Amino acid sequence: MSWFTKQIDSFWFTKAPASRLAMLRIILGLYTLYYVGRRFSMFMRVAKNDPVLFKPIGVATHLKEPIAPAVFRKLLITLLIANVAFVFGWRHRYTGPLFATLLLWILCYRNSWSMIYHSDNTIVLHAIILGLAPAADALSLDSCKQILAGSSENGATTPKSGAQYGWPIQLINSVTVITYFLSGVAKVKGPLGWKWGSGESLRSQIAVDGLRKDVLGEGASNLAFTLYNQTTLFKILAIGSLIMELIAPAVLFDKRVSRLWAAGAFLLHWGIYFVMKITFRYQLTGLLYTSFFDIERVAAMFGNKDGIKIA
Amino acid sequence: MFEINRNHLSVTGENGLSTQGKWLAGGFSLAMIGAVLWPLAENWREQPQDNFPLSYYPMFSAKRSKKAKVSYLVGYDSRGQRHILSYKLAGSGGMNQVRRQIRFLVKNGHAEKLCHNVAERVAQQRKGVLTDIVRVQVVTGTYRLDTYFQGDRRPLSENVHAEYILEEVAS
Repeated sequence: MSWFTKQIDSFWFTKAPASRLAMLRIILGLYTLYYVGRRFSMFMRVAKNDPVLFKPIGVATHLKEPIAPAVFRKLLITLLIANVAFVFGWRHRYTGPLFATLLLWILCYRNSWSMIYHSDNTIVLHAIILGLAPAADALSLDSCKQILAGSSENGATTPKSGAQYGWPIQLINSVTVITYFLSGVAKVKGPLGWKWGSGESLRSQIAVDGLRKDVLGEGASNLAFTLYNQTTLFKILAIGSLIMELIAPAVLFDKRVSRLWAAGAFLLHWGIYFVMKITFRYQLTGLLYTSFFDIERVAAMFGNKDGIKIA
Repeated sequence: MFEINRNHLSVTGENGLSTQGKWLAGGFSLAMIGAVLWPLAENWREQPQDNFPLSYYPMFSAKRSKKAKVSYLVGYDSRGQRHILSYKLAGSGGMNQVRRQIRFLVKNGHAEKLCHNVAERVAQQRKGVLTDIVRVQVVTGTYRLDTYFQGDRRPLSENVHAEYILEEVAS
């Protein structure tokens, strides 16, 4: 193995406890269960929209016209059942890919009615990774079954840890930072180029968003009006967000830097919320960034130190 | 010794992943990263296309002007007072989705139909500000952002695409 491949190997196939990947499965699963479950009626209303508004995207592109609402309802219910199985890690080998596929399809269909909600992108991408990775080797019904079988044979079990749990986390982190990087590139490749950093475009974007909210009956954030004339502030915010986005892939090479970056991105979304009243829930709750941290410690607090011993 | 989980990328050896497992996981990782990076090329295309969940985030590269045009719903009460009506009367799926749908319907000559649907919903709901609404319009307003955010919230111009008197809907 050459020096280069060794470096790649140790960076990408880093060891991690099975419980860390399992915690990410549970967190994402609970979030999607809340996200889709709470919007069940709204998704159904969207599916009953005027067909003239239907512009299929993603994996729904093959559809020439909307599917029958009754079929969509059945798919939504199947998704929720697969979602519960995903959270509990029940037969993950089958339910993981099923959940990821259904979530991808349902969210593509939901976004096929004139507007793409980009905040859903990372949810789906993370679900695909966790659905295909061995994310139910701990903190799951599957692992309970293994423990029971193992205990009866040997009388003891060994904590699970290895590269097979590390690379999916590296991939989740990579996908997260790439989405920010793409946003940064879109800004500097736009009509303003690097002048995007002047803050003028950011200010206009916030203003247009506020105006739309006002005239569509939702009401703009008061902070948007208060800050509108603070051009220096917008310049600082624009430069700050550009730096954060364009350096995003580089932060993966250092754990501490990546955690600092994650904290910065988390705060950025809270800033967006206060100024624009945009609720990117997956980001605002911090759940998007949990993969950057030793999240299995939360499970350890409840007596599950390594994902094997069940409290 | 390998333990192959066919549906999961975890061909394992004694110390974690086997070489075969690493190839599988590495290939999947590269494919995933490549797919997420793929939309980057849209920034260099003449007619870029957005998609889901693989996007190039076009909202950040949109050309911004000092003026903004928005299509929305307006209602008038029996005293002739103007009220902004909620986008929720026009459809479901969140504000931005409905905003785009209103724009699409106006642009494609469906404003009359939209206005009639909104008037019907106003007539059905009849609560709060909607109690006294007698006339509904679908309009497109042009606003100067500077003046709007200085406190003058009147549009520079407003184009009425469709109008419905509520008694007409009831009858």
